[in-house]
Amino acid sequence: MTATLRNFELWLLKFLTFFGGCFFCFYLQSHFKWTPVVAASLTGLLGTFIPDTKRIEGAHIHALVYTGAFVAMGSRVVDAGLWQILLVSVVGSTIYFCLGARFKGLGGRLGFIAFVSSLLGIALRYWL
Amino acid sequence: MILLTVILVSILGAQTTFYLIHEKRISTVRASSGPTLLFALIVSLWPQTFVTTLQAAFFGATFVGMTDKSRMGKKRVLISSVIFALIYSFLVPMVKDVGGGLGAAAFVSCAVVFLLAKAVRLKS
Repeated sequence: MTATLRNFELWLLKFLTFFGGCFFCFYLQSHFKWTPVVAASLTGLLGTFIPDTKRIEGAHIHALVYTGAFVAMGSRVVDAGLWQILLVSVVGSTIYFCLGARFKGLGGRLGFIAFVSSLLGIALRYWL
Repeated sequence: MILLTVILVSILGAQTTFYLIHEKRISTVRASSGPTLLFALIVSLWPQTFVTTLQAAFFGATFVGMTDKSRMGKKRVLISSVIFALIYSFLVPMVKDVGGGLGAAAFVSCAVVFLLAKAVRLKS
C-alpha cells in the first residue's frame, strides 16, 4: 500500500509525532534532570531512527519529532504539564501542516514554528 | 570574552552542520542533533562556568546550518551564524522560558541575510 495519506490522517500523524517528540523531551528533562539542549538533541537523534516508509514520506516525521522537542525546551510549557504539551502539540502540528512548506530550506524554520506554537499555546491557556 | 566564545561556537555549529548535510549527505535532523550531543558532552567535561550558554549557542547555530544550498551558500551561512550569536546573546534571554527561542533566532538571522542578498541582487 503506497497510497498517499489523506489530509486528516496526515495531520494526525504529524500531531502524534510532534506530541511524541515533545513528551519524550519533557520526560528526559523531568525524570533524568537533563539539560534542555541534551534532551532535545537526543530526542531528535532518536527520532531519525523511526523508519520513513513510502506511505508516510510526506509527513516529515523526523522534522516534527525535532520540532516537538524544541517546544519542550521552554520551561513555561514544561512546567504547565501534560495538558499544555497536548495543546501546544495540536497548535504546532496544525501550523506545520499549513505553513511548513512556505519556508522550506531556510534555517531555523522548525524552531520558528516551535516558538510560534509555544506562544500561541501559552496564550490559549489563558483564554480557555 | 563570553560573546566572542559564543560567536566562535556558533560559527563552528553552523559550519559543521552545513558540511555534514551537503558534503557527507547526512539528513538535516541527524546533522544537527548528532554534533550537538557530541559538543555538549565535550563541553560538560571542560571546566567552564558558562557551559549551558555554549551548549545552547551551538545547538541554535546548527539550525542555521540546516539551511538548504539553494537558499544560501557557505559564506552566507557564516554571516548568519554571527548574526545568530548576536541575537542569541542580546535578545534570546528575553524569551528564555518559551520553547523554540533558539530556532526563532536562527530563522531571523537566516531570513535577514537571505533578504539582504536578494535586495542587493535586485538593485544590481
